[in-house]
Amino acid sequence: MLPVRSVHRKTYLKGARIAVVATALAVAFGVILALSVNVFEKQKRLQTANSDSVIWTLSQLEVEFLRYSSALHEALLQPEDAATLANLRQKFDIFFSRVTTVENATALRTNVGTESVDGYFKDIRAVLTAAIPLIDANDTVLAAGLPDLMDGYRTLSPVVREVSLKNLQNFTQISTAARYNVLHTMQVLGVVTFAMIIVLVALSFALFRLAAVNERNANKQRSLAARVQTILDTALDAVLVVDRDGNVQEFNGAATAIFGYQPEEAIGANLRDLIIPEEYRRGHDIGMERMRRTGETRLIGGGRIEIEALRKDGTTFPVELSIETAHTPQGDVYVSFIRDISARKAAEAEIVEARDRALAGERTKSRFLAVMSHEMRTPLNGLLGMLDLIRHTRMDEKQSFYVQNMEYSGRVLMDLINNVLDLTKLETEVEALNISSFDPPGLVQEVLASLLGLARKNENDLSFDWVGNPVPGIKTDRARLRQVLLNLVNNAIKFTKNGEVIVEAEIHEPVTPAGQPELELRVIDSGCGIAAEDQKRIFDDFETIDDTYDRNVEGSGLGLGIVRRLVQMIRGSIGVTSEPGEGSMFWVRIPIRIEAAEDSFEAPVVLPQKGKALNLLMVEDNMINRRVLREMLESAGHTVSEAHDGMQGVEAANATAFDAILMDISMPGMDGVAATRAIRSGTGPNKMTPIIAATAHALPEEIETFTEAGMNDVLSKPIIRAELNKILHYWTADEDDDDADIDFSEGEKEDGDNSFLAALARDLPPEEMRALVERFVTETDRAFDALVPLAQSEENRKEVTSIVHKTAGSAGSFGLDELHAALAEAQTQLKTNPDYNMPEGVAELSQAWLGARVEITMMMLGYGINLELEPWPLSA
Amino acid sequence: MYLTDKFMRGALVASAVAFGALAPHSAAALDAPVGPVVLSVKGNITETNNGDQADFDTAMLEALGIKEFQTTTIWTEGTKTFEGPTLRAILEAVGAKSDNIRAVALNDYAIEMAAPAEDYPGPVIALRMDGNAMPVRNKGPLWLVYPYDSDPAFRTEVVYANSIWQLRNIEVQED
Repeated sequence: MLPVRSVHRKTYLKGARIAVVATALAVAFGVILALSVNVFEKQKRLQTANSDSVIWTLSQLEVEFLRYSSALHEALLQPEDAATLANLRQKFDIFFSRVTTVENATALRTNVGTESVDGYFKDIRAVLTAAIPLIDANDTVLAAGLPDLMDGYRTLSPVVREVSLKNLQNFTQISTAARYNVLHTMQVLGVVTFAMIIVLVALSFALFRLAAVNERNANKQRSLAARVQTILDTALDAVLVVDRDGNVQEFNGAATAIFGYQPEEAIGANLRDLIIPEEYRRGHDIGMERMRRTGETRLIGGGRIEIEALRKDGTTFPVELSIETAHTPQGDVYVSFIRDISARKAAEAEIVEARDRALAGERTKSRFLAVMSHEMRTPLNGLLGMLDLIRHTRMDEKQSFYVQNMEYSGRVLMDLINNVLDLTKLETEVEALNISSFDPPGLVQEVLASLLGLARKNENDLSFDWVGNPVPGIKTDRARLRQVLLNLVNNAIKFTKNGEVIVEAEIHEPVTPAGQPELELRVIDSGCGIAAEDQKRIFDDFETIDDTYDRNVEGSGLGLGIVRRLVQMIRGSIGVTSEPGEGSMFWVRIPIRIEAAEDSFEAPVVLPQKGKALNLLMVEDNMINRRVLREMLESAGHTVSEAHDGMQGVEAANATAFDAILMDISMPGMDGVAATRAIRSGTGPNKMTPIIAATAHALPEEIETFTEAGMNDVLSKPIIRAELNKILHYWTADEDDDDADIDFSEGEKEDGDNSFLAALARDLPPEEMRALVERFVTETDRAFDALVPLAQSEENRKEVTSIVHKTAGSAGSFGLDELHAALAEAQTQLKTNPDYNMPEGVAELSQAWLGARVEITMMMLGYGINLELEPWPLSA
Repeated sequence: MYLTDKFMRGALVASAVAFGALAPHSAAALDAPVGPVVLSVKGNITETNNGDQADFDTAMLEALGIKEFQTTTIWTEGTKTFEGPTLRAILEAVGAKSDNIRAVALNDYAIEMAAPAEDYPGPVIALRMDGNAMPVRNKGPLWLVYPYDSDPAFRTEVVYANSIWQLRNIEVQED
């Protein structure tokens, strides 16, 4: 605003100055004109006299009167001389004529204020008129009348004298007045001339100053131009100035270096033909045309743009370009700075490639870790299952001791693998915070309850203490906080024997006014403690403290590393204080928001209906999966249609419009991806319907394939109710849904591998759950019973494959990942590898199933369900 | 003054050409006057009728060709009509060898002037004012007048001084 105003002000001042100068000039001119006219008038008046010589006229009156007088006296002496009389007559006439002249003399009559001499002339004329008869008469009469004329003469004499004096007096007055008049004019002239000189001096001064200012400006302009030229010459970027038609006006040295044209080649040429590659010229023409027509500019003033440019030798190269408009008196010009960024682009490409390589390597590593862990878990499960079975056989004490040790080692190994899996998951997941409101004491109680068994085993007392004023509820990532606390308490219990573990919670008010309140959780144990030198490294990955303290303590060294990562994720901090032999205190501080409590964990298990009721299509080949999913969806109030494979799914999608489609990925025949492509490319009513993939194993590149095929989202199997509802709501909610932030947090993802079973246990009534699981186990038992003999003959390969596939589906939906993976692998081998040893493979699968079977049995026991199963394998 | 004269002369040349075409003069030898002599010219002249001087009566002056014009004067009131021969006509009639003349009035007023080389408009020796012969009592019988109104150049003190009334004698000077 300010610069604009000052500019206006400047312009205004400039205008005012011009106006002042113009006015002064006009005044000077006017005065000069007036003076000239005045002088001209004066000169004209001098040239044309309006009067005869007054003095002469005045004197002549008396002179001629005296001549008349002398003629009269002469005549009196010689009355009979005709010549004398004639002379008298002439002198009378001359005097008479003079009287008339003087009487009419304009010079003596023009001024007002002079004394009138009319009276005297009246007297003179009366006397003269009386004399005329005598003068005009013959000589005799005139001679006789001479005495009368003498009388008249005597009367006239003083009057003529008087009138002469009066006239002289008047004339003096008039002259004086005239002189004063002239003087006055001269004074006015003087004043005006002086004023004019002042004006002229002022004008000269102003002009001088103007000239000085102009000179200064010109100098400034020159140095500015020189500076600009220097800048242009030394600029590292090419600088091009073009006019509205795209003709180059300036082309600096850097431009020559970059584009290969000499300035004399470039200047005057059109930008388009000079540096714009063939394929962009059309676009350039359209842009220029648009700018000419509408004044709209897209590149100009748009900051830096990366674009391709053309060299003189015809090669193109990437440049960074910025164009600005400069307004000049000759019209707008466009100044462009162009930088050759080939090197940068190349470096960038290299960096990107390097990064991609690194990322790919990282991904490979993560996947390798994940796969390896999975692969290790499968045989380990089998091993543990077998150990469990062995335990139930008759053994001597030694054997029993060995088995116990083996089992212990196996569990340690399992724990290790699980931790590695967790870590890999944390490394690869960049999940946003999942903030929800909850009641912190509830969370602590829940964690403590779940660890009560372990605590009892180590003969520890567990307690919880809330320090300070309780709060109704807080907001943070509950699931992560829960896992942090779980790990810390778990650790505390593990390292404490016959002691106590106390959890304290406290809310800290924000330190700064802008800060957030913090929740501090302290896990205090009376365990073995940690030496000062170890306290720092315990949060590093794979760090374990020398376990000479207690051989019984098991750990991968990853637990606290995971905790540290989780705490970082929820933007908190963690630390420890410990005294060897006395115990340790781990503290966690996380920023929170204090809220009214609405801890959904406290809410009843029965789900309230959230969101609107949807009409859904479920494409799923696995019966148990369908059963579970249908139950989940229907309990949420949705209507569910089923399709048992991809083909059926496409048919159903072509027949009816759905709000959303849940699509299994691996199905016999047409798989989920193909089915999705078919629906998307078809003309059915579900062309635009959200399609959500449901898959147990989704690697990032696979997810890409799904998205490419037209899937909107991915649900991880085992399907968690909250996740399901959230995704469905997300994809089907109307824009103006005011309950868009419905909290679907109930059913937080549980830890452990069998979360699907946990979800089932929560979602289904216990009896149904039992029936479902029993049926699954029995069916799988039967499947393996059938598989073992079938596998003996290559002829049955197809049948074996079919059974393996079906079993794999069920295992997948039950979250039996190891079994599922083994079956899926076997299935692939069966299909693709003719050398695959079927009997051996099936034997291995049987082992895997045995492990999984044990796992399920134990899990169900954990949920308070005692499965009634026939022993398997029957041969055992 | 000089400039104005020059300008005036230019104007007079043009007029002289015009009048010259209409009324060419014949420099005939002067007859003797019949009526009372009103004007005597002497000095550097070739034509005479009375010794070394040339005398004119009113009829002789009338015969030189009458110019008539209207003008105001600073000595009279209102516009007057003057009639008479031009000074140039008289000088030509007497064969004046010079333009420098001395004119003398009845009242002994005298002036010296250079008669303009051109004819009318220039000084006219008026015989009549408003159609009447002028008596001595009224600046007569001859009055050298200029058509003052026709040109500002005729409204100068010199011209006013030259406007000699009651004119009686002209003496043409040596060059």
